[in-house]
Amino acid sequence: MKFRRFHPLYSLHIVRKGLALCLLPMLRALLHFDWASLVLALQQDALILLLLLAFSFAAWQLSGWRLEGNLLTIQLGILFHLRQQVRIPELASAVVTRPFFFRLMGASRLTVYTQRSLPGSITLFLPRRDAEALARALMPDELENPVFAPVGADRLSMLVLGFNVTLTGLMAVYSARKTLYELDPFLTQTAWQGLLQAEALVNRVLPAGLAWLVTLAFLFYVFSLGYNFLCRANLRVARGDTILVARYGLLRLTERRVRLSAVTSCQVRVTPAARLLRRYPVYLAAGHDQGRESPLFLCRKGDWFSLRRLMPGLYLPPSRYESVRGRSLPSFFWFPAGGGALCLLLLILSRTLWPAYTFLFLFGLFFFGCLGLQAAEGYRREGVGRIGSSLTLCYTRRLTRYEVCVFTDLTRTVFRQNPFSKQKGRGTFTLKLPAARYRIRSVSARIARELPL
Amino acid sequence: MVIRLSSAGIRLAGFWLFLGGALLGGVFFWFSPFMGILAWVLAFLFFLYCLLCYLPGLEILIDETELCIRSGFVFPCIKRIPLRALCGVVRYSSPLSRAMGCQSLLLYAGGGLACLLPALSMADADAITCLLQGGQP
Repeated sequence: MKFRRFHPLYSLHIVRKGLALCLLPMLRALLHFDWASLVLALQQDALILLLLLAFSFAAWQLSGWRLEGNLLTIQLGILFHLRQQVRIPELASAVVTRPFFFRLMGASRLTVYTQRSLPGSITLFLPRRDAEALARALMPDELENPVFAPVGADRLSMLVLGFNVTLTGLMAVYSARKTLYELDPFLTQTAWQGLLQAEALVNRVLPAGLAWLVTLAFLFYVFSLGYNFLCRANLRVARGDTILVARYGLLRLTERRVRLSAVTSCQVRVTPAARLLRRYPVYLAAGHDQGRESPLFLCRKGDWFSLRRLMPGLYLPPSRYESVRGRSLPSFFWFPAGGGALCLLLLILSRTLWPAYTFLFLFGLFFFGCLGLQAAEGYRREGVGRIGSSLTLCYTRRLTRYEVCVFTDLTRTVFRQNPFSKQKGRGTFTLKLPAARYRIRSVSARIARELPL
Repeated sequence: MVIRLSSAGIRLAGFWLFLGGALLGGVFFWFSPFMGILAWVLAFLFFLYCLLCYLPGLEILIDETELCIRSGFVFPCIKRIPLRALCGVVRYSSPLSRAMGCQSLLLYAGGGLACLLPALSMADADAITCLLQGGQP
């Protein structure tokens, strides 16, 4: 195949990376804060933009890709050429994404992930037909019949489950940043004006601030829910002899092609929503593709056969790997116990000092109670071991239990102990895969030493 | 096959640790002399731990199927890497390490750097490289 250029959107991608340069003249204008400096800064910004456009145009002209036999070659750069070559059998997956803006421009973003060689992923901006043709050439398939297509409640629960991890993280970060932003001036004033004034200020501002915070959080949640619904709806998964194809999205269309021989691990996430709905999202990782963007299956509780139809050789962890004797309580319970004790103390104090916040601390106590229950489950169930020919492991983080089956033999392990865990013959076990790592707490030293890899 | 660091290797690693600790501790003098002295004391204690416990106790075990690295005395650590997962070895030496007859090995597995074997003697580095290539040391 002859050398082909990327889509012109590639040059916009380069311009976007250089847009931060435009802030430098504006920063100078801000420091001087007069009309002449602003005009000068705008002129300099225009010049920087022109240079960026010229640079990106030249980069687009000289960059491109070529497919020759089993070799995909990508050439980048203007003066200093970077040529990346990837053998097709070395590829683990190919993901074609078409966001709404890309669809308007007739472009697609193709990301290919390698199995073990570096760099782990390469992103190409291609015209739509080129992207589809290249994805088919890299991962050929002759299947169209969907094996798994959630409908109705299944689809809804799939979406809710998919959002759960992302939204919880984003909302937590957003709330923390917002709270710090609100509190910072008052904390500064505390140092100067004394504790009593700060308390008065906090009492006056905090209720309104909290209300706005909750409102914004819910607004953000609704927007995210809607956006994710448009990105992950209409999931269809089909399986051939060598590859697995998943297509999803309404606003942003995504097609993920995974080479089955390159699948490194299969992860079942038991989240609180999954427990309520009795349907567990299943994520596949292949080579450097961690597959965290969206679950590929949704498995009903106890119906593991449908999962084995898609992934033969899949085993899930047993209910218990080893005896809990000697297992470290602090490593599992320090966070829920510490947070719960703090909330309990504040709850008791709030009954007399801050009655308006009693509900808030009650909510905190409930949250840490849930974390404690999850930690108790982890205390009982966490572990690693072989079932048949598959390596399986189970671990918990926050409110989620992760059950993992590892398919690859490219694993390595690290086992760390501290003086206390050494006395008990236990330690923290980390299993490392090409693009993922799993950490299991308080594993027996004997298992860590003798586990066949 | 079991490999431990030679005395020259321990001295070399100790030298770099001492130098790094002294420079890093020196930065804290910028905050206050007390902080600087405290940082130097901590760095010196860490240096002593490495020199007397960590580096002499570092063991590299290689059998037919896997490479195992045992290190640490107070905080023991065991790393196990199957030989089939290793896909590259980089041998690194500086003028000082060459003068002391030492070399460091960087072992790459699928997904990136798997481990660093510091300040091995030339013979040990040759033996490990040869073993990882499927030969006999």
